[in-house]
Amino acid sequence: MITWDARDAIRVVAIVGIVALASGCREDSCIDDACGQPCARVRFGCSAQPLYVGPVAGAPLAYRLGLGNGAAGDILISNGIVTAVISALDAPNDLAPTGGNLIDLGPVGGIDDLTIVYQLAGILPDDAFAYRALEIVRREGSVGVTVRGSLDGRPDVLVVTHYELGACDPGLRVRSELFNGSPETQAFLIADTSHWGKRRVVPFVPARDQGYLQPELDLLELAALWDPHDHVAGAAPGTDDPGYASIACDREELWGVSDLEVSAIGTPMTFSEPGDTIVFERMLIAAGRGLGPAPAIEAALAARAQLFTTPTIAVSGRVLAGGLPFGGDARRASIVVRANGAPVSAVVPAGDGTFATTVRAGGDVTAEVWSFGRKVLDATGPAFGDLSIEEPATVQLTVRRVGDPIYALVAFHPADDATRAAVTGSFHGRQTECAPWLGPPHGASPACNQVIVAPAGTELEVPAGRYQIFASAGPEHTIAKADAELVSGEVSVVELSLVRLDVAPPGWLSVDLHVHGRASFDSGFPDQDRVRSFAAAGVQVIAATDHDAIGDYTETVAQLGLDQQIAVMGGLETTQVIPWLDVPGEDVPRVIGHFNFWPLRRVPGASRAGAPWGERLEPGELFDRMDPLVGPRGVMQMNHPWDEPLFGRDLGYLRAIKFDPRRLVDDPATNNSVLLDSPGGRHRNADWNTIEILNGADQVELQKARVVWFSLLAQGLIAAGTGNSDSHGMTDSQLGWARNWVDARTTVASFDADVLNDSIRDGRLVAGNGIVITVEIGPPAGPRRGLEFAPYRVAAGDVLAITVRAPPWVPVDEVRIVTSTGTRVIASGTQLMHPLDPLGTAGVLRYQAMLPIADLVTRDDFVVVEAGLAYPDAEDFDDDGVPDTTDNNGDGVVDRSDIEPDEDAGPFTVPPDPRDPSDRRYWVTRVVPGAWPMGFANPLLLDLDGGGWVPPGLP
Amino acid sequence: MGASGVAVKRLVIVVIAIGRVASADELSPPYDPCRDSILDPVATPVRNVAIDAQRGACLRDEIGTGLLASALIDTPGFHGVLAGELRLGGRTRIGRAFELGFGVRVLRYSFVQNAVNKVTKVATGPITLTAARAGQLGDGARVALVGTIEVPGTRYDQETTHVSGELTGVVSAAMTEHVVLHARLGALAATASSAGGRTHRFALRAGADLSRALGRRLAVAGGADMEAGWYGGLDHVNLRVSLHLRFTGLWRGQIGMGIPVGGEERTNAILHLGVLRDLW
Repeated sequence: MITWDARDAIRVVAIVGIVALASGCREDSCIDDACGQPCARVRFGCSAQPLYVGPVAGAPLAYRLGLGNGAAGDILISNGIVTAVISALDAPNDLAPTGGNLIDLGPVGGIDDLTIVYQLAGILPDDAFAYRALEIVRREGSVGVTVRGSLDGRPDVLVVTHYELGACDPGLRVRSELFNGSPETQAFLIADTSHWGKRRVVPFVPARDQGYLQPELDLLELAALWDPHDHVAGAAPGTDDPGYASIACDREELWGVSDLEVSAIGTPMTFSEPGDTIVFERMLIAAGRGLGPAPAIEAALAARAQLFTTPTIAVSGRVLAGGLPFGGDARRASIVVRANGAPVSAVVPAGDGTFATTVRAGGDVTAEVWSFGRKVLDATGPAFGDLSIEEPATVQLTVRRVGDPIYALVAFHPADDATRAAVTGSFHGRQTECAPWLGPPHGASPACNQVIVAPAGTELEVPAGRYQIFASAGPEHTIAKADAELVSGEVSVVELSLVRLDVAPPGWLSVDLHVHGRASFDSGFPDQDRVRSFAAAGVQVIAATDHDAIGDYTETVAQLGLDQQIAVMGGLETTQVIPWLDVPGEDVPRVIGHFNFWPLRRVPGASRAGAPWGERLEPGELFDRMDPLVGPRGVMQMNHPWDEPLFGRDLGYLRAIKFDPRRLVDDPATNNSVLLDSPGGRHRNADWNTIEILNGADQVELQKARVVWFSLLAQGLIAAGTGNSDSHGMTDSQLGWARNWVDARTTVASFDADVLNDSIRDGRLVAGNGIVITVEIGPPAGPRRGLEFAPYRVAAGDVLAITVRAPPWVPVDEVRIVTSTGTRVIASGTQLMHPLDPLGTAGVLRYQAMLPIADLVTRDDFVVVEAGLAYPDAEDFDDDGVPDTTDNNGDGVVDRSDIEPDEDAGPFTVPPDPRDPSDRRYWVTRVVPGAWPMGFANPLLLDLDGGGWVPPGLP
Repeated sequence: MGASGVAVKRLVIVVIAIGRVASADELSPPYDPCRDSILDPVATPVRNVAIDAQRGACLRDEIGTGLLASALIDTPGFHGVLAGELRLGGRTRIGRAFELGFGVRVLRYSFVQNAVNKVTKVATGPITLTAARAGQLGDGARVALVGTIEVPGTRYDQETTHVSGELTGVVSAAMTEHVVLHARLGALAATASSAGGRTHRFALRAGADLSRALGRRLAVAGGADMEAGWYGGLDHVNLRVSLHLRFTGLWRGQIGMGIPVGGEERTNAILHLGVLRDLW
């Protein structure tokens, strides 16, 4: 029998006491409301200016940043040297599930180049830091913001981030903590994740074989790529862009990855048992303007030197060209400094050609000077002295139409292989390679090998060489060509003339319904150049559809005096980036892809300029939310329905839900029926007004999107097809390629968006890459009806009257008819007109015919007319009903030998732009890279028996 | 009936079968449940630091070493933890009614993966101390109160303070000359504290094992432990099987496997290999 005595009791009490003592001692932490100053050992001195922390709306104007994302209610922190904006808790942006994140950072008086910097513990949506409390902090000599919450999908893992700015700091002091309150051991990290968007800030990593070049980021191999660095930096290569840099304060190295799309920089991957805390202290620095990352790196090294042994060395020099100072622009000169062969900094010389900065020391210091995208000089430092490089040529360009100067787009092409070899360039091996490289491909004009020419004329610098220079103003003009030999240091005057062509029907407006500018996270294109590109492309109406923020260029159009030529509708492209959607058959959550909405009213000062937060919504719910904003006569468009995912985020809704175009929408054996769901109670997921069939100038998206569009049409899900550019600048996709021509019944001068959108929703439009198809139906002798979705009651003898027009420099090889039974070529070869002179004016009319309806359909059906080049052969190897693989090995057959290794299908590639003038695509690709001429008319719905139109169904 | 229920049913059938085989032997009650240490349960602990290790009510004098491996594979959650550890331990009787013991986690290798985050860790510690007081419970049965505590500050990682322990009442009863039933009822607790906060876990546990000697050198056992509260509700039913061997003289070997089923438990399996030596 067991008995207890006093000795037993004493033993128990002693044990409990030891436990209590041992578990009661913890150091102070931000989670506990005892947040000290991050990076406390780092000190900067200056003549301090007033500190500010509070709503953006109340901040001194001088402290606000240009091009910032901050809305009136977001929190601005500034010390007069640098300004940061933290999003309000109820104003989430971009990848973050909540507010409380850094959305703007830049030197006072400058601009912001960030989209967002948010924290995460892993790549799963559950691992993002979700903040639920925000506190403004004011201390002696500093101000700050503390945000608290948990991981988004793990409420028992607590997180906090404290931002603080001291009076003389060149950047934010930041401390983040993560407490593992879960019952399991986890592999966590804390990382600042910056969404660069591919086309703006270029990361710079001071590691051997890196610099501006980082290893390709494969998320599945993240653990192997997660590397240490003593600092990380970046800058966009524009003349106003600040440099950014970060250092760790509580450890010698930052760990992470960098990529043009996203960087994640923080702690090593850490073994985290229940009860463990991970802490990360760092400084996020912004400095300089148009000088590359060097000013920020210099400040970062100055901070780091106060914490860890950081040998540094000063470097300086001056760049000359033709004996004169040469700098002020990354086009002219951009320098990478190396220590012992490893890149340690990158600097753009000032306008007087001089540069001076501090870099990490370690062995021989060298510099490589890049000019117009090519490395042109290697030098030994640290005092580099005068660095003489070749002076470019100067070209003065004017483009006229019947004597009057106009906006136009001019492209330079090397005229011979020697010039091509000499002038092919890129931004330090990053981004698009161009020949010649006139400027950063995603920035202001001139960009890549193109320049927007204004009516007043445009002067630019071009590397010396022999060139063919092409001018264009859209498909309703001829193109012009000039040959020029440009000599270093000399000025060449080039004048080109264009002629307007009758390509589009009179009164129809050319419209681009998918356009991005600087307000999008993945565009570095300034608004003024964006609007000039509208005029240069001859597009009359634009829907400004920036990612997750309502865009509108009306003000800029007026500033440029183009309001009689161009009408702008404010709009939005919702861009879900937080995976959440469970799709049957898929292991990982998806997103719903991209949707456009217009017209919308931009609300200055509002979060996302008034755009609602569109994450974690099915399309039907999204339509419910957007319908009151666009109004009953607005448009809701499904974009690129079958586009490939990017960074694990779906871009095309129908691809994301694994829509099978070969099966009925209500087929229970497929996921198709989700289109008929009304998740929000009102709109169905399929209740878009239009579908983007043509995206960009090539045919990749077209060949996939048309398959799903025809399947939906055959089943009675009628929506207009559109063709748009999805342009983000001058290089990714050219404005107006593709575009729509709309039977608008309104004009630019007296523009009525509702009237235009009525026409769009009703299918009174055609779309194309340089090809305009007009279609009428009725008796041969007339009168005939044009395009619209009201079913047409076919009478005996009725014909389909088809006219195909295109500028002489755009080839048309086929005219096709598409019905529910398939596609057939109705004209090709000699049945079409082929202009002899691509630079001339003759040959706009390519095909005109009347086809008896009785020869086309035998039952109620839809009819779509297409024209253009023949489609490249493609096959569907993953058996989803949509072509996915082209003849990639060039053997003339599309088979499984064309599939990329370790894949089950694809890729779907575009043939390279030809260099042989006899190639059918040669002339159009001189002015529109990658173009695959094609056009289509929206469907006519044919009611054969007069009993109302009955969808023909699937074959 | 769910998968866990089917498994429990099968285990009960095995236990009954062992009992029936036992009952066929010549009987001469009452028997000493502690007469042979190979009839002691083989531990297959689920919790860290083995605070939920199973044992009988018998006091022993022994030292031993063992390898413990565990696996947590949560594919839908993109989470996995694989761990293996080398343990050293021993216990000795103090008088007739008391026992003191210790355990040391000499080395633990862990691999954890969250999606694409992958980390491995090698660590040592902690030290655990065990105390037991046992007594007779009628004829042919022993009862004991066992307490184990992790000694704070004996883990390799000092940034987080861990304390854990358990208090369990155990009964070992000889059903026949060759069959012993071990039953237990107790509580576990753990707390971990670091700069960012403190986390507590508490659970109740109950279980039973039936050991059957097959000759003089081999015993087989099967059993189940139920735990609730660690995750908030039912944690698991840990279905266990084991072999306990006597090699030669005082040396013994153990192989045990536990498979937690049901409840919120994330760990999928535990494997224990051990070698012990009776001190006399």
